[in-house]
This record gives sequence, structure tokens and C-alpha cells, in this order.
Amino acid sequence: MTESLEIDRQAIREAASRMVVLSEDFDAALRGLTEIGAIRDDGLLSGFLSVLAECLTEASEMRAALSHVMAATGGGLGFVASSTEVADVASGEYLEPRGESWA
Amino acid sequence: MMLPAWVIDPGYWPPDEQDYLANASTLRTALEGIQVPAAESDATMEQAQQNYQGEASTALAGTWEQVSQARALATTAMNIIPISLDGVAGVISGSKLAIGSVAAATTVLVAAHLLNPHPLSRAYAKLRIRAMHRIVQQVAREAKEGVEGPIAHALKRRVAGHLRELRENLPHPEPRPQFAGSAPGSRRRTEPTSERDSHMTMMAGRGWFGKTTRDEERVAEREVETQYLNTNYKVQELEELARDEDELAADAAQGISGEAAQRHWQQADALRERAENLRNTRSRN
Repeated sequence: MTESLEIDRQAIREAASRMVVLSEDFDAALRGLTEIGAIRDDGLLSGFLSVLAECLTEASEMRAALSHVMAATGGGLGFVASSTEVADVASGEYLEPRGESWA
Repeated sequence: MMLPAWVIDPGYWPPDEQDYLANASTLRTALEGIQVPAAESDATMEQAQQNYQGEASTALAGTWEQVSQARALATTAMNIIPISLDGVAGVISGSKLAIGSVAAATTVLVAAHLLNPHPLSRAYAKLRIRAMHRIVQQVAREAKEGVEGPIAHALKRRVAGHLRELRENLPHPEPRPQFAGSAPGSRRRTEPTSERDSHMTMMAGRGWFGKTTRDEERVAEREVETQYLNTNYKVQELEELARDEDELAADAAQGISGEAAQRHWQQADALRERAENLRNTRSRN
């Protein structure tokens, strides 16, 4: 098992929390999309402005989706680190008592 | 621009392009801000994969590549928004140039007639002002059609539509079975905010990523370029209109009296030269 799955758990854990921080940075950077200033218009370009609003809404949702996926990837990495540890411990417990009778 | 109140029907005065330029700059700042977290997350994932080899790692690498690619495409699409705002600002500036030239020529004509009255001056001045209002309306209509036609259409399709498609095809954010390995016990994940949560519900049941290619990215980039060129073309067209109107003003002046025609002709020449200079300045920039 250790041959097929080489893993540096500490590095993976660090990468996992780094990904969560980066997803927050990403989310914060794109906050500007929702802070767009007023555009005065007497109706001349109202058609353009409604399309613009639609684009900004889509961009905002994309921002939420991407930062969520980035954070979830970090979560997945953290999960990998802890689950392989659990697996190692579990297989260790399983192997140890029977180890003596092998050999 | 200061003009006598009777020159311009306020209803047709173009909007303020500064509103568009200010927002374009806000959006650019926001979009520049994601470059660092985007690049660092790619580096972090690459590093993580070096510390973690196996079947799950390969799956993780594949999923992350899809996320990273979708993010790059989304950024390309979002970058079109400030470009379109610049484009609209350019069309507004062009309209102002056209309207301003016509208004200036008309003002000169009308002022000349008020200073040196002729039995038909009053009627002629009224006709000129009415004709000018029609031209201003036409410029406004052209600007509206240009902005709401090609520019808004490209925005809707290449930005709103493309972003929606990318979002719907994003990989599922839950850890996949490959991530979980054979481990028993709880499923752990980061606590989502309400915004993210609602988004996840929306994405539930969507297909896996796999539609977007490098070709599509190239197409999106080409679209940005085409749009930029179209916008410039529109501005040039409007400037052309301004020059035509100068000539129209000169032609009209010719019909009144030889002396006045000469004066107006010189004025129109000066206006044409100004339009030419502005065009040159724009093409240098």
C-alpha cells in the first residue's frame, strides 16, 4: 500500500489550507464586479445597460462558483490527507495483532 | 460644451462617457486582482500533486486542470466587459463630436443672420435649427443602434452566455470517490457561505466539465479584437458624418449670398480641419 500511494501529509495539509485562503483572495478581488458605479442614462442606451447588468450578474455568479470550487478543492486535499492517515492507522491495527503469527 | 439653449434639444444630448470609463477602470482593477490568487492556486496544486502520487492524484490533477481552464476562459470573457464600456464611451464621444460640429456650424449661421439680418433670416435660422435637430436625432439613433446592436449582442453572447455555459459545466465541487480513497468515516468539507451554498444547489446534477477547448479560448480572444475594431470603425463613421455635416453647412451657406457663403465656407473648412486633427490624434493613440 505504501508503494502505490506515496503521500507527504503535512505538505498536502498546507496546500489544502493555502487553497482555501487563495479562494478567499480570489473572491475578495472580484468583489469589484458588484461595486459598479451608477451610469446615468435618459433611456437612450437602456438596452445596452440591461445587457451589461446581465453580464455583471453572470460574472458575479461565476465568481461565487469558482471561489467555491477552489475552496472545495482545498477541502478535498485536506480530506485526502486525513483519510489516508485514517486508512493507515486502520490497516496498522488490522495487521499488527496478526503480524506475529505470520513470519 | 457650452451652447446656446436653443441650439440643442436637451432630450437628445448624449450621456456622459465618464460614467462608462470610470466603471471600465473599476472592473479592470478587479480583474487584475485575481491574477495572483489564480496563478498561486495553480502552483499550489502542482506542488500538492508532487507530494501525492497515485490514482487519486491523477483524478485530482484532471479536475483541477478543468477548473483552471474554466477560470482562464471566464477571465477572458469578463475582460470583454470593460472593453465594451470603453467602446460605448468612444461611441458617445464620437456622437458628441458629430453633434458638436453640426451645432457649431448652425450656431455660426444663425449668429451671422442675427447680426446681419436679411428679410428671410428669421425663417432661415428656424429651418437650420430644425434641420440640425434632425441631424442630432439621427446621430443619437445611430449611436443607439451601434451600441445596442453589435456591442450589446456580442456582450450577451460572448460574456453572459459564455459565463453561464462555463459555470454550468464546472466540475462538481464535492470530493469525488477518488479523493476519498477507501477511508471510512465522515465526509469533510469547508463550510460553504450561503451564496456558495445556493450556487451548489444550482449546480447539483449538472454534467461534468468537458466542452471547452483551447480553440474556444482563441475564438473568445478573436472576438475581443473584432469588437474593438468594430467600435473604432463606428467612431470613424461618426466622425465622417461630422465632416459631411460641415460640408452640408457650407453648401447651405452658399445659397444665401456670395459674401456670407465665403465666410461660412471658411468656417466649414476650419471645422473640417478640426475633425481631421481629432481623427489623427485618435489614430495616434
